[in-house]
Amino acid sequence: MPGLGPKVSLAAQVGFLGLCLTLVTAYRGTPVFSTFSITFVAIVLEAMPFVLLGVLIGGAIEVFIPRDRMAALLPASPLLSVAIAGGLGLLFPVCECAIVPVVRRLLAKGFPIGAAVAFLLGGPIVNPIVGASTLIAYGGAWSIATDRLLTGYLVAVTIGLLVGVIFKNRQATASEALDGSCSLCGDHGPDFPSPISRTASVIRHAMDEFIDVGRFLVIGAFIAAGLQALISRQDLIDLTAAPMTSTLMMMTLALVLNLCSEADAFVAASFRSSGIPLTAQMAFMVLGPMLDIKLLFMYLTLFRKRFILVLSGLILSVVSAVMAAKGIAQGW
Amino acid sequence: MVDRRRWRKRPLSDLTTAAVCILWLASIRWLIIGERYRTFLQPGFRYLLYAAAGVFVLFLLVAVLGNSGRERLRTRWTITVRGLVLLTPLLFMVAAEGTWLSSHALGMKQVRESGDPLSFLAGATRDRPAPNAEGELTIMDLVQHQDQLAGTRVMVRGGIFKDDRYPEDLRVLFRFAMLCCAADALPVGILVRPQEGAPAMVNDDWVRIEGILKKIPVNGAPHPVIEAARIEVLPPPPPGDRYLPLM
Repeated sequence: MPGLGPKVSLAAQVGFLGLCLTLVTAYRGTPVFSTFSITFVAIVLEAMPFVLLGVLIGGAIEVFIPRDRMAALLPASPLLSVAIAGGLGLLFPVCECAIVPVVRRLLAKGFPIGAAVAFLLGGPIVNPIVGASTLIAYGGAWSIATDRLLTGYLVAVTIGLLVGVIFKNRQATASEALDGSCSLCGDHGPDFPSPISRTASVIRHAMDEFIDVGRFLVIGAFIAAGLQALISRQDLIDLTAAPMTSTLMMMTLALVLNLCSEADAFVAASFRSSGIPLTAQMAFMVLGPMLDIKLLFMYLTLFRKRFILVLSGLILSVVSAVMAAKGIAQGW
Repeated sequence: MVDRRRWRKRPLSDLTTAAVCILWLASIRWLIIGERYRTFLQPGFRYLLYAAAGVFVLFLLVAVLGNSGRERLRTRWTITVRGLVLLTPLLFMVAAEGTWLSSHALGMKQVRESGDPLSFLAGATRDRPAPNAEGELTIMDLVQHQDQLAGTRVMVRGGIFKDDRYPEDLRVLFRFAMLCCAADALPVGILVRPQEGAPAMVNDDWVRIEGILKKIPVNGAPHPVIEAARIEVLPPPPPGDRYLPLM
């Protein structure tokens, strides 16, 4: 795994394989195992088509967009480029699993880190599919659907601007992701004589990306399913005592449940009858598509560990601050 | 004829990718047969699985027919282990065969204070729900239209759970409502009071219940309860019958 060193990374993955075999041989047939295995496989199966779509888009970016053209795609002003990137999901509605390999390829082509992060965080929320699912889950409440998209956009752009100021691409991006000169194209960029060989190259890039990114999806989904099978939602709810606590609790739930941004509004809406304030439900819907356990593992394919720590801290801080401001404005 | 010399010279990463693709393709076929995928996903995801299979076929073709001629990963171990990690979901997929989200999952997903977690959908449809061809309603129908249906005879199917929070003579009849996948499935349940002489039921028995829906006080608050006149213990349901569609 990036950032762990090759031997430690290999040992961790071998350990993971050993754990899987132990679980299947020792616990198969128990209720906990059923809940775990169904949840684990469901998360992987749900995400897999979108990850495959993402790696194909990433492969196309690698082959068809030369590095020098990438810079020309966005405005020179960092503020404007981050503002545009944060709303790109409206044009390219992708979920959080599909967006990771796309952003990986964009970073390798020199996409500015601030804009890349704004797209990474905003894309899975600021898109029409998520807007529609939120609208349905909340019984046609346009105000809640709009609030979710606007809040997601605000948080994504704020964090994009902050990381754009603090970090340069090379400081943030994992060395594997930064390596634009892939082994297929050599050091001189792609040079494919025919459309067939170009297409084959897109698929080959996608294939390599899948092998690399896919394992993080698997390991992240494994941990997420373990938490869902071992920790009850009630135990998390029991931590609730005050509005701010409920916001933190719902944020914790978003980190643990690892739901797709197109489905999470229904789970958030199910907490209305528990007396969880709307601000806390919004925190769940804004944080989940930006940060959860599965995504943390997938971010390892994009960023350096130190950057992931800073990014996670920024996401948690900005979402908490925005929700606290909303709560105060609504009189809690 | 396969050119064996050419095949032996292929990078191990190509061979690993080909093996991963073949096994994933076989698994997708296995999932589609008998609608096994519905243990994990809602019916509409069938088409996304087809799309995923299409991409795996493309990967397989390029891995088998194309040849980059260069190894792209560091060591044989790295390549093999990465491939194996990608195959672990298949192991659990097979291990989960014949199981479903049971009362254990109900305990993990339900929230005590909320009563019915799907009450947020109440009022989404005002029309009285229509029974299916067998005369059955769903638990979601009963919960969402409890006031309209109170006092009427209903027939409904689900899993049984003895919840210690309720009086000894009551059982919870439950299902899971799914939007995308089992990870986002929400539990929905209704209380049942079996008549004397009803067949013995244990947790996770799959039953069909017929009786009168009433709203009666339970633990100090009014709850919809089915006064069960007839209880039939059924064989475990096929994957397609396990979940209710949330949308």
